[in-house]
Amino acid sequence: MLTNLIKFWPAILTSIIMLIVFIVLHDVTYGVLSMLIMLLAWLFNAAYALKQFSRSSTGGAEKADGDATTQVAREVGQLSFLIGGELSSLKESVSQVQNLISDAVGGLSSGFSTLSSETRAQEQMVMGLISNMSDMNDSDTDRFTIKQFANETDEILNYFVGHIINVSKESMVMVHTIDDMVLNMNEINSLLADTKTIADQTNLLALNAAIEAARAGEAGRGFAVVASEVRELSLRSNEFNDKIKNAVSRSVHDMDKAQKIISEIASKDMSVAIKSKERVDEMMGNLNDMNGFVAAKLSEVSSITSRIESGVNLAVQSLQFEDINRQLCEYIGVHLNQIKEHFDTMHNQLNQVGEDSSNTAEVIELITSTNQLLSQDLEKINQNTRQTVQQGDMSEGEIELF
Amino acid sequence: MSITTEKSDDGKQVTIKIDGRFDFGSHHDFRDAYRGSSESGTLFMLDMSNTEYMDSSALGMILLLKEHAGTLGGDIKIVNASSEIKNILEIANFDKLFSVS
Repeated sequence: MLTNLIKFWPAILTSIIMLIVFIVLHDVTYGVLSMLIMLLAWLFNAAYALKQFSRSSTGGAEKADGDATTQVAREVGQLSFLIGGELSSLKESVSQVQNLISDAVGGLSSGFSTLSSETRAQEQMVMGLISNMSDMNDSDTDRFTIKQFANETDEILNYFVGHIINVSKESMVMVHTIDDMVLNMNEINSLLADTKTIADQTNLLALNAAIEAARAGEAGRGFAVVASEVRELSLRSNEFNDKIKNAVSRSVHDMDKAQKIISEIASKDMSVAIKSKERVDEMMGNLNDMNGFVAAKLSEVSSITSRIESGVNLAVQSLQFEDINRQLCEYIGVHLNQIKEHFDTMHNQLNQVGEDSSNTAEVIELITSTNQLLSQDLEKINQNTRQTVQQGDMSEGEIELF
Repeated sequence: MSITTEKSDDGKQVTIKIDGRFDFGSHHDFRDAYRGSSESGTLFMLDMSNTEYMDSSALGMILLLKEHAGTLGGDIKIVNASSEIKNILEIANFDKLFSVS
């Protein structure tokens, strides 16, 4: 038994290599191809072994020839049985792969379609934000924007500055008027000085008249009374003059006070207004910068979103490889069945031959005919697989559904 | 604070130079600087090269000068203003009323 197995070392070696290739590449197509190569290796190895055996047994005893042929037939039949079993498990694996891929593709499809719709919603949001941003720069809109707020603050500030300056101007008019009034008061003072001189002179005149009346004696008595009255009048006039002078001086003093109050009203430091104005300008500048920055980032986000969407679309398109895989798996299933049938037949026939202990030529003929049938089938398998693999090339973006 | 006035020979241009602080305390001198000029079409030049400070009363006084120049059919011009002074004049929008440099 062991020596017989050693005769099949090329087939065993090829099988191991092909299995490694299948495990490493992990692809259904390569799986099918390596399996076929394994099959061919086993068959050719079996044929070769049989030929060697018949050559060595020619000229030997008829009994020995019959025994050897029966043994070979039994071994080859056993081999066919083993390969048939392997084929069944391969078929099962292929259907498992098919199911796994189908499940995975289903999950991926729904995941990608969710991603696609969410991405679209996100893009719409971003577009809404962008249009809002452009509205902000548009003064025609009814909405109250931060820019309008800044503009109105600026207007209010201008209004107050204008108001302060206007108050200052009117105050200066008042101050000038008061200045003029003070001048008038000073003029009144100088006029009062003149009336005082007149009163003093009148007083002196009355005194002289009284002296002259006294010198006239009895005849001047009446005149002395008049002179006394005139003197009295001049004194009263002086008294009156002093009162006016006091009133004027009080007025000048009040005007001075009024000027001081107006000075408080008119003199406003402009640095507060300047600082406020600077802050509003700064705010406007920052706002414009911020608007620009946000708009730029939003359009970036928008372009990223469209790139995501096209990527998702490509992925969804690529997921159609599942169809091709399914097709390939179906082919594999069909042809595995075919091959299994061949081996089953071969197994049965060889077992029969073994029992009948027929001659070597019959066994060789049986194996050769089975091999020919199998190689024809294998050629068909290769053709179909090549076609499917060609159709499965998705790099050109055209998916042929079959 | 000191205010000096220079009149051109034909009396059509009056240069008023304001040094130091230009505030309420200057009202008397400032008014006197232009009150005497009654030549029609007089141009009043305010030389502010040495003006250090200006408050709202100064702005009010300049507006009164502008009114006075207006009654004469003349105009006013502010020259040599420092950046701080220019800032105040711009806040008051004076740069839109007459020439400021």
